[in-house]
Amino acid sequence: MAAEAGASSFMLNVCGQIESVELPHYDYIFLIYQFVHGDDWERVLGLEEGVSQLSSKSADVRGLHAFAFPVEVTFKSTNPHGWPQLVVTALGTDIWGNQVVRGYSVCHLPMQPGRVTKRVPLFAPQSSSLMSKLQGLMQSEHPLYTDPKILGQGQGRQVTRVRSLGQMTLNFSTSMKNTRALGYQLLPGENFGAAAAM
Amino acid sequence: SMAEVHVIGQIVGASEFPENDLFCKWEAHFGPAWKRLEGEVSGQTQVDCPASGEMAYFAHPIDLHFATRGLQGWPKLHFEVFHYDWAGRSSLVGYGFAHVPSQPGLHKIDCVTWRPTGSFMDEVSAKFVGGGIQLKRPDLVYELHDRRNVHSTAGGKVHLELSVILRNFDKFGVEC
Repeated sequence: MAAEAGASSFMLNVCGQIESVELPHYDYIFLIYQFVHGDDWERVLGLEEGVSQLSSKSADVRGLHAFAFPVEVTFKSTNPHGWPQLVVTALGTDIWGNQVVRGYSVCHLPMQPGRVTKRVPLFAPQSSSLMSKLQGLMQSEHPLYTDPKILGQGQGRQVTRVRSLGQMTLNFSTSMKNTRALGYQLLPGENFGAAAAM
Repeated sequence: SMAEVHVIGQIVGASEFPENDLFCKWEAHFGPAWKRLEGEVSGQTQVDCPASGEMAYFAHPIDLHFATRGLQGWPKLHFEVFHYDWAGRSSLVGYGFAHVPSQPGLHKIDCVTWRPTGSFMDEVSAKFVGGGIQLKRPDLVYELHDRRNVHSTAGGKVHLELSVILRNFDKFGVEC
């Protein structure tokens, strides 16, 4: 497919899946994913929010939650700044049957074409003091982010205390359109020569 | 059109520090030929106390967009790792820095850190007072100053995952 002459935007297409989660401490987990991106980006295809099945931990020594949960999305943008990030919330239920956040993860969608497998840590916010922790246990209220999209930002995280407690494995296959036509070099060794318009 | 550089990724975490309960402050520094177009140039991560394993995870996003007229003063990222103790005090446990890679693509970078070593009395009182031993001039960590009077001890490592995207470098005859 020829690059469009005079194109002012490029496209990012990502197909992949959330393969599995290692959170052996918890028996029942389901996942919700969302995208965080800058103002120059627009999601043209794919879900705004995805909700997975409910998983039971495997009975063997792995204690694994396997999801094979598809993530397929296409973005259009004029600027790499604000490159989309995938924020995943892992939820479970406590002994009283209330929905509880077990962990969060955040990672950028790949910035190079190709296939990658990633392992991303999961972490859960902690109460800021022993008192609020005890109170939380009594009232079955666990600390959580009011909007998980804050994990895509660099500001406002400095006051949060977290405990990292598991890993998520994902894979992505990524392709782009028009990045070369716009003069962007995403990989080493690409030589455009005089091809790009001056 | 100018040459542009995008640096996008994360401060993944820190490992090999004797302490848990770590957080990291970071700052970007660059020469006068460079202009920051978009993105924050500094930040502070969450405090992580890992349930198990060696790595404290920050998962802190970095997304910087520069325009440049020259290669001198290529951007670098400077890190200060702190331990947040049971009393809520922060002590400095490592200084480090890393140049933004000049090659486009994905880079996994392990950044070594060091902390200043004080005299025996300095070390003992730091344990009680907190704060750690800090440099009066933190730019010593990333600038080309004479360091002969500094005595340091190794700290752990800061782990970065950064992607670099270059724009229009080929038009200026620059190979990265």
